[in-house]
Amino acid sequence: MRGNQLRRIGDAALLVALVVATCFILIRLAPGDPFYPRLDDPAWTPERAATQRVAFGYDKPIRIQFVYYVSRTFRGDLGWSHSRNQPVAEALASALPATGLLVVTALGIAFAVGILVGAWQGWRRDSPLVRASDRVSLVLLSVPEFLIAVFALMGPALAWRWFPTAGMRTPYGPEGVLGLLDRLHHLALPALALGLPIAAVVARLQASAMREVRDAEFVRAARSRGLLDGLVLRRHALRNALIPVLTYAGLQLSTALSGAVIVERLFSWPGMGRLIVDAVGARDYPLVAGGVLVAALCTVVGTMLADLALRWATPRLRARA
Amino acid sequence: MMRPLRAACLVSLLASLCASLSACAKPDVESTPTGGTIIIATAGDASHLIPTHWESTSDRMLAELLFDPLVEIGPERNVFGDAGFVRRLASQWAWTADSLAIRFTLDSTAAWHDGQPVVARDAVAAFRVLKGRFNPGSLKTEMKEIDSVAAPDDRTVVVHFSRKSPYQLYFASHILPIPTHITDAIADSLLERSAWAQRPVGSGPYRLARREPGVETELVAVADHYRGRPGPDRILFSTSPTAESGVARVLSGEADMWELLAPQFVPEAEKYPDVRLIRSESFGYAFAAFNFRDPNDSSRPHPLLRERALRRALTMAIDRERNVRTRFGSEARAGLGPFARINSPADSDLTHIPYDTIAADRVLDSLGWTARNRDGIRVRNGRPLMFTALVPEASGGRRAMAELMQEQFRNVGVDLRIVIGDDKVFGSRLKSGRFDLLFGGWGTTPLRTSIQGTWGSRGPDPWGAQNQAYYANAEADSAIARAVRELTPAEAAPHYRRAYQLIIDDAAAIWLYEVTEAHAVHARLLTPPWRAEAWWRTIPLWRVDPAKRLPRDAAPVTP
Amino acid sequence: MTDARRPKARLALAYLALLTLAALGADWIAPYDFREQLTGMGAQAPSAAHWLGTDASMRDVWSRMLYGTRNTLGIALLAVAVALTLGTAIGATAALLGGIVDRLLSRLADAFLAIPRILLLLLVVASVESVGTYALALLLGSTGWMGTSRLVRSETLALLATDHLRSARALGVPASRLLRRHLLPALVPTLATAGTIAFASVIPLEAGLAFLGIGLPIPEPSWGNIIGEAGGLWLTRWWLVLFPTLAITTTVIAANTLRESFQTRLQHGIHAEGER
Repeated sequence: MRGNQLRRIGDAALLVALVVATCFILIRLAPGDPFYPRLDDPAWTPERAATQRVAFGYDKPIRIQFVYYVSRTFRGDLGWSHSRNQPVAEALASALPATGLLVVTALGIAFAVGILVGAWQGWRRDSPLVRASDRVSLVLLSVPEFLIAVFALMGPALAWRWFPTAGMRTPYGPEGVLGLLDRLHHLALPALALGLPIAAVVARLQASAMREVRDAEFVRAARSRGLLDGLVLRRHALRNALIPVLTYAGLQLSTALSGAVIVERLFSWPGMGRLIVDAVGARDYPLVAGGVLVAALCTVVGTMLADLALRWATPRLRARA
Repeated sequence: MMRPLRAACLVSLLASLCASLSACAKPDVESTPTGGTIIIATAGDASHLIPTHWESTSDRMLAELLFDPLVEIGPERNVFGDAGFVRRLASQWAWTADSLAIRFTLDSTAAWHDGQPVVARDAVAAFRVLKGRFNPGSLKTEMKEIDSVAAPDDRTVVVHFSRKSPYQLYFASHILPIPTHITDAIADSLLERSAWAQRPVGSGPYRLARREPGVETELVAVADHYRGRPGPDRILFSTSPTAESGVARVLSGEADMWELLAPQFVPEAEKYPDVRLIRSESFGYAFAAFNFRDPNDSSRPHPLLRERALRRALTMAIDRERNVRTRFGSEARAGLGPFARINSPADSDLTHIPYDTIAADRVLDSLGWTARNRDGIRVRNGRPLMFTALVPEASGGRRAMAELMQEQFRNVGVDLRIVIGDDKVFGSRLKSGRFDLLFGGWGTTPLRTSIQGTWGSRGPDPWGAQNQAYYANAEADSAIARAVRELTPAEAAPHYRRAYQLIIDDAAAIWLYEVTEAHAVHARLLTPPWRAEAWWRTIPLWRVDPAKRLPRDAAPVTP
Repeated sequence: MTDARRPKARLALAYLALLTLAALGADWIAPYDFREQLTGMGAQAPSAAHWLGTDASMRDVWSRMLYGTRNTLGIALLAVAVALTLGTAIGATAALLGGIVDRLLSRLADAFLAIPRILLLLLVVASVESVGTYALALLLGSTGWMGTSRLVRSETLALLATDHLRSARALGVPASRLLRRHLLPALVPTLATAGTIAFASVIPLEAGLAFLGIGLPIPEPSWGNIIGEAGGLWLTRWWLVLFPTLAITTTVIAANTLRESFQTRLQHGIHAEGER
């Protein structure tokens, strides 16, 4: 079993290395020099760009740069971001918690709502309400994600003023308990915009799994033993029906990060999605690489967590491990 | 000066436009109490805060709030002599007898944010750093005119010029001193990444309180500033990654201002009574310049576009007035030539190449482009009449013009391929000349001499320094040279006019549009007349309406 | 067999067929050319003359929607074809060769899945100066093969474990023949599912990219870039957002309905096989 663990960690490291290498090479292939002028930098000169290229080491071949990058990264130095004029690590340190909060809340909503609604749909097979909610989830998962975010911004935030339109909190707003509420108020809309489409997918998976479990041998047996409906649902059916959902959960971190790229732009959320898009636009090589490295690490950790949850839900796997 | 037109850097307020808006509806700004917190939503964040290193309008805005210059151009935007210039760090100035130097006396109360007095050496150091950089912001032309800066004693700065010119004081106004008691310990080449550059100690009415690059920057008022206490206690510049989100913040009242409202947002914004739109004419103009050199080898002339008749025929195919109406309605006007209306209102009656598709067809036929291919595109010797347009992604207006023109070109049998480039792609193709039609925009300055760089033939600096499409006309050059030499605006005007007409007749470019800028400002802000070339310069004079204060206005300022 | 004929699935198929007809017949149905610019100020609300309004360049939105259907569906189908081909090749190779190749290919798929897809596309698009129609389809396809490869890999492994194929392998049937004669036909239901999944994800993705400013060369229309070009606060120009959104959403719903019907069928298929 030790070997198995080591192999997993090796696989994860390989994965992260592949991701970073791919992005590292892609962004360096992009046309446009990092030191080409911003549009409004009139008196740009090639000499200045050349000096800066040398200063940042971008004049060397890509493979050499990669070797340097890897060795520096292992020493904990992620480089200097020229577009923000600050160390990459600092930029990441301020963006990561913002995205973490957004994504974790969104996924929390997605799985809580999705599992509950799906379980209910699967258990109570046919009723008008089930069919209606089924349709809602089908529409939610079919509307492009960015449009859900746009509608959230234009309706509940701007037109009806239920929620703020931007940022993580009211600038110079209240502290303490009120401050916490203020932050939740800011978080709610972007998290829902990001989480609801995922909740729809989860609900559908959960409902179909539930339907199967419901008809399975052991549930029927439990029922015939006279156990109450609710207890059967909790004890036996739900846990087994969670398996497909949890298998799917590991992949959702990357989906949520993808959605965060758009949600963060629309809600002025100071997170990773926004940071990386800005960095790509500025051809800020170390910032892109750093951002992708962090994103990949998060995905790996997320997959491992989902794996653990899966083992918990599947006693057979637990026994084997 | 290549800038996107959205960079509201050099903006002017038409008093007549303003009068119709609540901008000038009182309560009187002067008598309103100071204090309050102003949140300004911006499209892009600054990358540098120090005045020797600014690269963009956002950089410049912050640098000018954190640092004071020796003198500043007045609201009338006069650049000749010293009429209208206002005192800043220098309390007085006088020309030397030979007219080759100006002697400035520093204000004895001027101090750095850390309490140290501002001394003459600070100006000397600023000039040294500016001059030493490969790219001193957009100040290349200005700094070239200055020969040296000396500090005979702590309170006297002498700026020496390389030649006589009516614009000397204007050039000198671009020197913003830096605190030598801090920067002397740092090598010039390391300034950009120094701790001081991240958290500058300046001399301006505001000091830096907090900064998160790419997200927000907080400035707080310097209560004991030598020019008096600035109005608002605190300014928060907060970046919005999309225009939608930035505009939404102002409409919902979460922010007090969105710098430049794109025309498509105007109808929506007009529905919100709490938001007023301050209109100002733009200092910028957009154009589609024909490349005079071969896109594949800029040492050779362009195989087709070097022909004047072809350029004129292409210009005739475009209905400029209609395009502007379709896209902007009344929010913009068709371009007048290589200048912005505001700098030269008298030249709005120049003769233009008329919109005439029949004539365009006739000329194209006469040039041998008679055959047509399957798609209706003209062909000569087996080669289709095809051009590549380079358009910056950041400019929705220019993109729309390109799209409208593409169809009008197609109607006369010309194929226009549009390449939309992000900042970096646009920049790299621009610098290497890989385009046939450049959808560019110049943000002009009150200094009309900048046309030497933008439409003058490439030559010794500053001639043609920003002339990316290699337009060249000796006659226009000599008219510009005359204009630049004249000592008064009235004497220079006819020469500029002649140069403009020559450039228009040559069909150097298709003149697209000038927008009427709209700045979305929350009604709770009381602002003095909108400042001509740089709106942020009046921020110390802004007031927050006492009747419309918010909790954030009362929040304590962190020391 | 019966599932595809269930009323929901039949309705979905009929809708997709209708769209295909509209796409093919755009030249005859559309009242205007998709490039034609009419006189007047841009972006007019729907009226009798322009059922779906006009866009900022004064082009008829109904006509652009029709031609846009051709581009959007064309790109989606091409992207799906690329994704299925790549996914099948990679998934089947991993399953057939096993060992280190399997491990590497699976990690490669994981790596592609670990980069948020929009970021991956942004990076790739940044590395080419401009994207043509085919290039866009190719890009969307080549970043969307991972789901297919996973499905194909596990299905192939399951198939290889059946007695039938085990004996075929033992008899020394060459891999190419094994693939062509035995595996591919058996993979068809899996590929149908994977295809609908890819189709349902590509269409919104194209729209999302158009929103970020990446898409077809001007003046080609697609559902996504009609929204993308709306610009500004969209409450004032709702028709430029609503109609393309409806088109995208209904199409994706149809694709999802088909997928669910395929999936049910596939599961029944596997169960049947297991019982055998």
